[in-house]
Amino acid sequence: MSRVGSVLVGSVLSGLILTAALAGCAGGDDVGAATAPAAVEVVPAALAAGAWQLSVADPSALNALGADPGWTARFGWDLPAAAAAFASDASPEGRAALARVHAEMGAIYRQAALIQAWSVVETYKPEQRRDGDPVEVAYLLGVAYAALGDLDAARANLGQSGASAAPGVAQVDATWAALIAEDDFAMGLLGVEGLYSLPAVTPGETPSPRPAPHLSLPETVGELTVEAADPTVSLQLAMWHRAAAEAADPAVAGAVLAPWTLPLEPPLAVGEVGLEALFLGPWPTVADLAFAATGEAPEGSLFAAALDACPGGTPDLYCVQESAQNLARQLQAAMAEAGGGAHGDHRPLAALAELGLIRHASRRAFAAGDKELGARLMISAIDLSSGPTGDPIFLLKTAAWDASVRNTLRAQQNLHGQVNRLPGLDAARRSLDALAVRVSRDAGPAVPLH
Amino acid sequence: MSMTRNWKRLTMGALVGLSALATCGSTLSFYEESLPTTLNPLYAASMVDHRVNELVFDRLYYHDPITNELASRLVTQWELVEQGKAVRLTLRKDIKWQDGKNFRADDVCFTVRAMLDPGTTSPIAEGYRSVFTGCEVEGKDKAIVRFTKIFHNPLNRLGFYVLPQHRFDGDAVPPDHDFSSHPTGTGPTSGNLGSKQVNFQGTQNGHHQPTITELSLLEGQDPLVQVKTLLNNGVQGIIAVPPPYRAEVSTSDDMSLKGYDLRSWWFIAADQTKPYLKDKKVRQAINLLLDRTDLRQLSIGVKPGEQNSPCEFISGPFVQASPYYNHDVPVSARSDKDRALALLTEAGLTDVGGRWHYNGAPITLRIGMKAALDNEAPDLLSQIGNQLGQAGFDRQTYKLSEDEWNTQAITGQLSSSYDLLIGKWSFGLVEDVNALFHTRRDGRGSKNIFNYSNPQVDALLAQYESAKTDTQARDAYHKLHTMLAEDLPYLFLWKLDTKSAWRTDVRGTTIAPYYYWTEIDNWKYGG
Repeated sequence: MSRVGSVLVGSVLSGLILTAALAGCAGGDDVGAATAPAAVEVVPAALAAGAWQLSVADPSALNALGADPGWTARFGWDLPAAAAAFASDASPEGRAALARVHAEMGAIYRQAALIQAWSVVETYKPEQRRDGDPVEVAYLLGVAYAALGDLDAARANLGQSGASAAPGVAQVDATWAALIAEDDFAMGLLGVEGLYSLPAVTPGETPSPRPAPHLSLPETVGELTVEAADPTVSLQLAMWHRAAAEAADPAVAGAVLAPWTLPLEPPLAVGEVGLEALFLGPWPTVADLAFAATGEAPEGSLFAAALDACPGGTPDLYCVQESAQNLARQLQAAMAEAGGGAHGDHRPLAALAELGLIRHASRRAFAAGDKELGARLMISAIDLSSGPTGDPIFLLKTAAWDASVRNTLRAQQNLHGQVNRLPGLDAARRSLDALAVRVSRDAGPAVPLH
Repeated sequence: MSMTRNWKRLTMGALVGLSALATCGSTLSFYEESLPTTLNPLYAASMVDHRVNELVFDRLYYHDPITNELASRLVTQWELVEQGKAVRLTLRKDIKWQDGKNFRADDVCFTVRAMLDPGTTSPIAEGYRSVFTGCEVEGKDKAIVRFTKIFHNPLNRLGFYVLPQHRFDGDAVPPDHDFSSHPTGTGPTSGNLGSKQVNFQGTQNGHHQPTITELSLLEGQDPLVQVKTLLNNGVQGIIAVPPPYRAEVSTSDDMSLKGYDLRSWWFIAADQTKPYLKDKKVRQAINLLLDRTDLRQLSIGVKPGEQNSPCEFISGPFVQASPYYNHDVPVSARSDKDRALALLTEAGLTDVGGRWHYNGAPITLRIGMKAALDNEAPDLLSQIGNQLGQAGFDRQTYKLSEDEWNTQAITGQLSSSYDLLIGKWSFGLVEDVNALFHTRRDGRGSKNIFNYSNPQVDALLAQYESAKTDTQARDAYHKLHTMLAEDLPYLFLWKLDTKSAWRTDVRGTTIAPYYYWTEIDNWKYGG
């Protein structure tokens, strides 16, 4: 099957086609010696016409976006630089783009929090507890369960560490115990006394949190301490960026974050938003974004139409892969028609929809309880995610899922590739490392192989 | 690389492709890094050996490569017995060995006994001796496996390959038994080790119904030839595609790249029994003379500053993604010739006419590399030789065959023959490096290439082994990392990720982390 990541990587390696175009120095016409594929109609043409790819099919439209350093930075997933660049543009489009990247940073920190939460649970839940584990792991478990939306388990574990001599633990534990007594506490994580401090919310900025480890927890065997990362910090950063995104453009903030909200947060709605919310992203239309967020497909969803085309309306791995590939081809052909001819950038941009559909199908399969299909599709999407298509939100999401099933080998690989993306993500590594050591020490013996 | 050489390689590739095409039929053919050295899982020494095991045998328990759930194709029920120090396993009754004999509980217990038998001189078996005390058969289909202690999640310790009792005369399984070339397993295919390739026939069984009837493992060669042959459908897959060739695979509609999760890192082992390498300062100087950034660019094609490179420098015996990697120990990305020069001088080496001398004689470094690595990092051996040559060391370079590497290098028998050996180690979930650095004695240090011995290192390895808590284990390995980066029995190079390439008409190509072929029953090709 054809290759989303590979196409973009190929483009980049063979002359930075898209990068050049986004940098506004393109000469897109010079590199436009592409041939549109034979059109394969996976979805009705009228639906395909709504994809954001069609809005940038004309090279001049793409070049106009590419002239903006914010989009150039976003293309390379340098989100802090993108935020800083968009912050200097007070136009509605600039505000929307600023909201977009803050929302994406917020989504990344949500995945980091989930990696930590699953790692903590899988390391310290009662059946995995080991002699020597610090007594304060109850606090970590409480925060982890809160992040995962199990508030009963969270309440049962929080408030147990009041007598702890470990520096700071009693205070954060008591603060959390008070917070979680309220129903709607998520945004209260920002600015509350007793947790970790962050600067005031300012769109365009990227705060650096207190570096991990946040807590030194003495083991009950021997003299060593567990140097732990508190998932609270990742949750706070997630909420900080949500607030920044909402301050910049609430509609875009809501739409982009909606598929990524945590159970502890107030839900967000996907309303009408413009190109800035979708450009270079996995969802071709707002309807697809809404489908991802709610599980219900509104009118106009390309993904719903593409998946419906599978026999019996039940997608399997091969059908999804084939539909995704054909959808990309259809969009590429439509872009050629709309843009006055085939262009070298059309293929990589259309291919983002291929990856998007596979990811979406994986999400739907998991939601339907089909873990096997969800995971197979997820692995298929990972194979297509490299270079510019290596969406950190998705890759960290896969790491969180892998942590939940104790597959630390792949989780660590996918997290490691993203850990320098934003300040504070090393906290997720610290939590995952604890799980990885536990899981590896549980395994049978093995020897190095050459 | 010259144009002439490229054309020669392309022509050769086309010829090889045609040759393979002429014979492949509906056989699924693929390039491995090399041929396996054995098909006996107890003696697997290379990743090639290890991957092949998964085609021929069944592990008693394994982790599902999709969901990571612990599963077994051989066991239907289990229960903890004897206060948690043993498990009673009830085995499937519909499984046959590939020679038609019934699979029984005797085979499980035989495998446990074989691993416990001192006559089985296998490093893999050695590891299991601290896990099992024995095994008892209850009827045809029940086995009680006894552990040395109560383990959390004891089934995780049962990830060994089951061997057929009827193929052996006693409990000891020697490495040179005919079984190593002509094994009998319960796995999805039967295999025979040939001198030029390995053929596998799909076997239907109660627990395996592979749809691919024949596989052919071919020895890897020049990577350009491999990729061209894949493109021409002369083979259908390549297990490890070197980074410079990945773009070509990616941009083809007929081929796709697949991630293969394992942890591999590269090193240069230094022989400390050589008088001029005995002084740590000389090893440190050589470490500083290497410009890893240039080496990586020239051999693997990674440009300086490239983001998310498939090749990442390391400063110790773990990949950077590992929990055991000590991020406080810096990597050495660029050479530092001034510091190196000072260290060499401090160590008593003298510069005579631009060549380094020790005790009045010029030093000639004999540098060897496992030959198969030249496919993954072309010209690495000569580039390392060039860098050391430019720094004033005479040098001679050699490529070692798989057999030499297996029987002489990792068994510690090349001390007198080489000064430096370039190699790669691979790991899965477990990153136990004790076999590499422990003093060779009492079964320890079984893969200690130049018989390195350092009591402080041994103490840290023992600390890891006996750690009561995870923190103690990690702390021991973090300290080990620091100590090895200072003492340099190895000059640590980089981790290189592994990507496979498969033609898109091969469907269902799920690659299991580390083990690779666990899902082969669901692969589809032809017919």
